[in-house]
This record gives sequence, C-alpha cells and structure tokens, in this order.
Amino acid sequence: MSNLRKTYEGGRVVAVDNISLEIKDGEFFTFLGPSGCGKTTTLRIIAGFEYPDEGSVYLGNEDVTFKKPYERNTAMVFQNYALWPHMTVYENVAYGLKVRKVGEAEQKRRVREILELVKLSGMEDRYPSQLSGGQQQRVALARALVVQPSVLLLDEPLSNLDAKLRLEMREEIKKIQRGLKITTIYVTHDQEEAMSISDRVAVMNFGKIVQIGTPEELYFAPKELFVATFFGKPNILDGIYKGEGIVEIAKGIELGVTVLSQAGLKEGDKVKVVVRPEHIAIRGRKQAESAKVWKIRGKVTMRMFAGATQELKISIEGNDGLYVYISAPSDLPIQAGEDLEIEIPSSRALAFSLK
Amino acid sequence: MSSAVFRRLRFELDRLLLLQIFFPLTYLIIFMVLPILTILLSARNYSLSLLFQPMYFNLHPTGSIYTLNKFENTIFLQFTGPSFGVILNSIIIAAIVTASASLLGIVVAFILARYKFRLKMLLRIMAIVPLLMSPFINAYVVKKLIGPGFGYNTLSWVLSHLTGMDLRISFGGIAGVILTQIITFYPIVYLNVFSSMMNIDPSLEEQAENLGSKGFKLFRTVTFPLSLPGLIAGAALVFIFSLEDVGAPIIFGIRDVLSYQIYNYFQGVRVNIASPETGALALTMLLISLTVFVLIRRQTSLRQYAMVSKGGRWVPRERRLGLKGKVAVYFVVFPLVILTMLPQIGVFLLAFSERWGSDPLPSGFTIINFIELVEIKGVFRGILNSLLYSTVAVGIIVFLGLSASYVVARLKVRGISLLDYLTTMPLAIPGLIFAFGYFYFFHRYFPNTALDPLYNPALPLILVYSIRRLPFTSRSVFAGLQQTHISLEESSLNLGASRIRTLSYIVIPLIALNIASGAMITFVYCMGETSASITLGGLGGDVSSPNHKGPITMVMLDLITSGRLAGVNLAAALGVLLMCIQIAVIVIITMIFKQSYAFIGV
Repeated sequence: MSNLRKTYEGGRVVAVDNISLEIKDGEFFTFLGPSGCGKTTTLRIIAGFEYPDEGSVYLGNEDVTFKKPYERNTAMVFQNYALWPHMTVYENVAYGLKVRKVGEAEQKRRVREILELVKLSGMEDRYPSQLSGGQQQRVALARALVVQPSVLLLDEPLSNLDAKLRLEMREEIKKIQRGLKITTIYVTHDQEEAMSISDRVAVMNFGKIVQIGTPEELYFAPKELFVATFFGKPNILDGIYKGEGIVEIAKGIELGVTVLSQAGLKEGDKVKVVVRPEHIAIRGRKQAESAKVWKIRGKVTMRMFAGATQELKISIEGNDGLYVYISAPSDLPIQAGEDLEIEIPSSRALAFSLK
Repeated sequence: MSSAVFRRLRFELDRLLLLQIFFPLTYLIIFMVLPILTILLSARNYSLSLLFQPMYFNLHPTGSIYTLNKFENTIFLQFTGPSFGVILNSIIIAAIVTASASLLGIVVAFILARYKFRLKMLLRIMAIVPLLMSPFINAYVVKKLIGPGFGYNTLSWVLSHLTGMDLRISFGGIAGVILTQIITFYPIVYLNVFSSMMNIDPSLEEQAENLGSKGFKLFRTVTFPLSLPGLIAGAALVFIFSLEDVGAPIIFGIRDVLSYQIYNYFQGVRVNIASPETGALALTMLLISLTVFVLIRRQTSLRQYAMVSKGGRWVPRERRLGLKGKVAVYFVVFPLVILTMLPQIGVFLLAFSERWGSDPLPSGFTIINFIELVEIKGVFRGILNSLLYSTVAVGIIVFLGLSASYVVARLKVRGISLLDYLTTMPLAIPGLIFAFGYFYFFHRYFPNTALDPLYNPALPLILVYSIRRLPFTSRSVFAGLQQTHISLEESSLNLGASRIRTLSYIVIPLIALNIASGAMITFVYCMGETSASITLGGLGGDVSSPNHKGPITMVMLDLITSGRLAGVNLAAALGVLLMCIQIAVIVIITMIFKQSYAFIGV
C-alpha cells in the first residue's frame, strides 16, 4: 500500500491518512487501534469496498486500487460473519467455488476438506441459525479459505464471541494460518489479541500508523506515548526532564528513565513517564529484573485481589495525589496500610516528550 | 476535481447499477414528472384572477349550516353546510376532515397503544375496517344511513324508535361529504399514530414517570410529542385524500369542489364540452398537495409510513383501565368505532339484498347480485380489465421498486436522494392530477397512439397505476433492505460474485417476503384505484358496452349513477369482492408472512 488516504464528508473527516506499508507473503499482519482509527476502512480499501482518495493498493505487483471487489482474489471474514441465512453451511461455503465455476466433484472435495479443517464435518446441511456463534465463525472462515484467496482479511472476527471461545478461536485461526501459510490481514481493537496472534502489528490512531513492529517491539520499545499506553494499564507519571536520564516526578523525587523516542529530550522539558505495574518491584519482597533501580517510599492505600495477581495502589510519601499501581503475585503477603519501598528499574521507565 | 468525481463514479457504478438508476428515473420522469409539468406550464394559459371569481372563491357563503323545520309533529333537522366556492370548499372540507380524523385517530391510537382491556384485539380489528375499500358504494351507504331522502334515513328511524318523537335528522351536501370522509379516513391517522407510539422507547415514558409526571401531563409532554411524526404524516395523507376524494362529492351531489370539477371535465371530454378552466383548478389542487408534501417532507419522511414494517421492537407499556376509563372505552370508543364500520357492514348487507329503497334497512336476501357480476358482460369485463391492468402494473412496479429502493438503500452517491424523492412523491399527488396530466400530455403530444387515453385508456391506466402504487412496493423493499446487513452482499462480492449474481442469489432471496407482501398490497390498491380509473377509464366506453376499457371502480360508479335497476346492489357486490381480496391479503401478510401490515388507504 502506498500513500493511502481516504476522507469522508468532503474531506472534513480523514479516515485514513497517508498510509504506506508492505505486507510479506505468508505474514500474519494486524491493524490495531481504538475504534474510529481507520483500521476497518483500510481493510475495506484492500477488499475493494471503498476506494482511496489518493494512493494505491497492490496485490503482488498488480495495482488493484480501482478493481471491483469481485475482481480481486481477497477473501474476507466479516465481524458479524455475514453468513447467508437462506443457504446451508455447504451452500455458504461452496458459493465462492460456484462463482469460480469449479466442477461439482472438485467443489464437494474442497468443501469437505475445508470443513474438516475448521472442525465442522457433518454440519453441511445445517442452516446458520442452527449453529452456535463459534460454529458460525468457523463457517465464515471456511467460506473465505475455500477459495484459496491471495489475502485473507479478518475484520474483528472474534469480537462477537464470549471470552473463553475467543481464546480458543484465536489459537485455531493462528494454527490454520500457519498450516496454510496464507497472507492474513487482521483488524482488531484488542491489544492482547493482536499481540498474541500476529507476526507484525501496525498501531493506528486518527487514521495514521503510529508504529509498525513485532509485538515484542511494540511492548518493550514503543516509539510514542500512544503506543506505550495502548498496551496494558501502565502508570503514567508527569515530570520534568533533568538531563542525563533523570526525571523529577515530584518535588525531591527523581527517577532514572530510558528515552526511546527519536526526538530526544532537553533539560526542562515536560515529560510523561510510563511504567508498567508488573515492572515495579517491592524492596525485600518482589525482586526487580535489573540491578539499576530507583527507590521511592510509599504506603499501600488499596489492595485489589485479581486471582493470579494482586493490584496495589501505592501513594508516594509526602505527595498527596501521587501514586502508582503495582502488580504483584497474589500470594505475596501485603496488607493495605503498610509502608514499603518500591523499586523502579530505569530500563523500564520510558520517558516521552509532551511535544 | 472532475477527475476525482469521474474516478468515484467509475468505482461506484457498473452496468447493473446504471440500469437500476436510469430505468426508474427515466420511467418516473416520462410518466410522472412530464405530465405534471404540463399542468404547471399550462398555467400561463389562464389568468389566475379567474380563480377568484365567486364560483371558485367566495367569502360570502351561500346556504347555511343547518335548517330546522316543523310540520305538525314531525321535526326536520337538515345539516347541509354553506358553500364558499369550489376552491375554498375543498380546503375547508379537507381541513375539517383532517382535524376531526386526527382527534379521533389519536384517541383510538392512544387507548390501543397504552391500555389493556377485554376485547382489545377486537377493537384493533374493528378500527381498520373503514379502510377496507369499497369505493362509491360506501358513500352511498352513508347517504342511506344519515343522508337526506324521502322517508326516514336509518338514523332518524332509529331515533324515532328510541325517543318516540318523529325526528328526522339528515346530513346532506357538504356535511355529508365531511362525515363520510372522517369515517373513511380516520384510521389512517390512527394507524400512523399507533405505530409511532409503539415505537417510543418505553424507558422514555418510564423516566418521565420516575420524575413524577403522570396522566395527561405525561401524554402531553412525552407521548404526544414523540408520536408527532406519525400524526403529521397521517394528517397530511388525510388532507390530500380528502382533497382528491371524488366518491363522496358525487354521491352527495356536491359539485362545488375541486375534485368534482376535474372529474366532470372528463365527463365532458367525450362530447367536447369540457370546461377549459379545469386546467387552472387542477393546477390549484396540485399546488395545494405539493405544498403539503413539501411541508411534511421537512418535518418527517413519508417513507416510514407507507411500508410493511416490523412492528414495535419493545415490550409495550400497557396499563389496566380504571373505572372511568372502562366506561369511556366501552360506552364511547366502542360505539364510535362501530359507527365507523357501518358503511362496510351496509355494503355487505346491500350486496346480499334485493332492495334498499326508501326503507331504513335493506331487505330480501339474495345472492343473485354476485351471479350477475359474471353474467352481465359489461360488469365482468370491468373485473377482467382490473385484473389485467393491476397484474401488469404490479409487474412493472416490482421491477421499478426493486431497482429504485436498492439504489437508494445502498448507493452512496450524491443526488441519489432525488430518486428517493421521486418514488415517494406519488403518495402526495392526487390521482385526479395524474389523470388530468396524462390526458393533457399524452392526448396532446401522442394523439391516436396507445398512450392517448382518448384513443384507448388501457395503457395509460396501467402506467398511472404503476406510478401511483409504486410507493407501496418500494417502501416494503426498502424496509427489507434496511433489515438486511450490507455485509451479506459484500461477502458475496468479495468471493468473486458479480453484482447481478449477488442480486439474484443473495439480495432477492433475502428480501423475498418483503417483495411479495409489497406486491400483494400494491395489487390490492391497484384493484381499488378510483381517481384515474373513473376519469381516464371512463373514456373507453361504459358498462353498457361489453368491450369497454374501464376497471372495476369505474363500473361501480356507473352502476350507482346510471339509475340501472339493482345497480347499487351490483356495485355493493363488487365492493364486497374488493374487500374480500383485501382481507385475504391482510390475512396472508400478517398470519403467514408474519409482517405487520401498515396500510394507508385508498
């Protein structure tokens, strides 16, 4: 895709703003972002339901920007599955083959194979209304896969499933994609889903791509505050940059930080420091992962049990309204009201300029 | 810029879509816009001051509202109503009818939408009976019931039996027309307001109650304002229907209204005595109805009111009636609604009776009237004609409606709303205007061709039907498309299917029920079409000729007005036939298709 741009309402709303990227053959690529960030619009441009105001879409070396949806070999799984209620599972899946004038015997064979792959053998004669949500999802996937598309497009396919089924299907999709080595473009607003399933992720906001990278890169080395705050529930502390990797987050309280953004920081700059709750240690009880830590005294003002972990709200000593959250193993004996010392590794405290 | 527009069009359109846009557009322009434009353009032929002559516009009315006479022990109380000239009369009648029908419609709608009581289902059914079409003959029955006559009308007969006084009350002239129209048209308001009220989110009313509002205050501040769109649409339709109604004026002998004047023009055409000023009157009627149409399009969209739609989405809020409420419902509303059913009941009685002369009730049971429908060649010809015209018209309408609604529902290209506007507009244009416009346009520019109504009205009638009844199908199809998620089509295109394949394998099967029910309602309303049928249809001979071109409704009018022996009984039998077709369609749509039937009237 090169320089894609799409506006609505006569240019007043920019849905997709100058997007250029290349997706490799066989790659599992995900567009991730909050609702309204332009990810679905991008996918619909790739499928041919929309056309860009500027820029081009290529499949291989072919420019398909103005090709009709039915002239490009993409296959999409819709958020609501879009199964035709008046057709059986078999008819739904075979539809694309019929359109492509595949012979009757070949049709039967391929539909059987693909239904086996998605574990729906024996359901051929059911109607979509007789299937559970997960099964409908599998039919939609089978219908897209059976035509052997050059690109598989998935538009938030798991958002209508319950939490348990979502995990199951996520794994399933990943497995099938690996097996068939099919280029896949996935759209979701769920950061955990995106990270667990993708080879690469493009984080989008306001129609722009903020950062492209592997899930690890995005998590550990975000280039922008938006990306850093989009994953997980990090602490965000306001502060002033003092130079040489030091930020003052409150009067007399300093923190060693890492600066990843290319812009760099000057002394006196206002910054936001992002620290993930799981990276904060507690002196004597929870070991920090790096030796270079900054110590701050505080008081546990709230403790929330969350099963595998416990969330602790720590008020920083002498500073009303300044607090951080820590995620600790739930078996660690800590009581609300306790005074303790927290340790923040400077490698995990990421500072971003506010400019 | 222009290249961007071109690129956009090239992307959005393909051959099928172009056909779907240009077929309906061309059709509507040739068979609706042009004939109506000729009426507008003909305005320069008249001096408009003509319209302010006392015959048309008279602020010093002649006649009085009622007259009271007494001869010995007999009291004669006759309501007639003063005449303000053709144009003012039409407007005054329409205004009074609209106001009264709205009041009655709101009361019935509110009671049915918000209260629970015994026999509620019965009341619901009874309330739509007046909409069953039995053109002309229902007005004839009203006249028998309350109109002037030599002996007792039914009302006076009942009253004298109840009171023992010899009291003869009659409603004639304009008063008769007004009463007939209120009875016939109030269900249009009722149905629209009812569906509005059923669509109000119950939590909105509950919130108001929660804040302490109740009773009439709740109705006035929340329920009523929220059902206003239904009221406006319903009232506007009643106004237009009243304006163009020609049945009641003919039966009650009121010539000083626009509709009768235009009808009369066609009576004169065959013998070349048609008054040329009629063009100015048609123009006036057109302008009045267009004004109403534009006003309500601004307020609300007609589209939702002319369709078969899924009913209320919520569990409706229903309360039990208190004692006062029960008294009001069983002793006021029920009798009132039964009164409005009397014309239809009367038509049934008349169809199965030998005579209903100057007696208060018909007498002599017979089924000879139904046998004669087939045996009298001119009558049977009318039935065949109607079946033929309606079938062909429905075929065209399904094609037009499917194309236009699809484009309007799915295509996001600027200017496409014009097509939406054009397909809804026939609801607001009086049939008489179509008739007049067709005669003007096609007789003048295509004389002695199949399009010339004077040469042969068959084709023009089919064309008028196909335009006038288009909204019934197009709205039903539109509703179906709105309930069908666009991704069902996109997934087909995405899998490589062409547009035409997607349309025939995905879209049409998915909205088949909407198409079918739309087509059935359309058929019924084609069969019952009156305005164009009695004007254009009358140009092709009358009942006495076995090969005339007129449809059922023209035959009914002929039978009533020609003074033929048992003519009214035959007309009633035809009315019963029409009502039976309509009842069958309602039953099929609501019982078998499980769709709610929102019809808007003749």
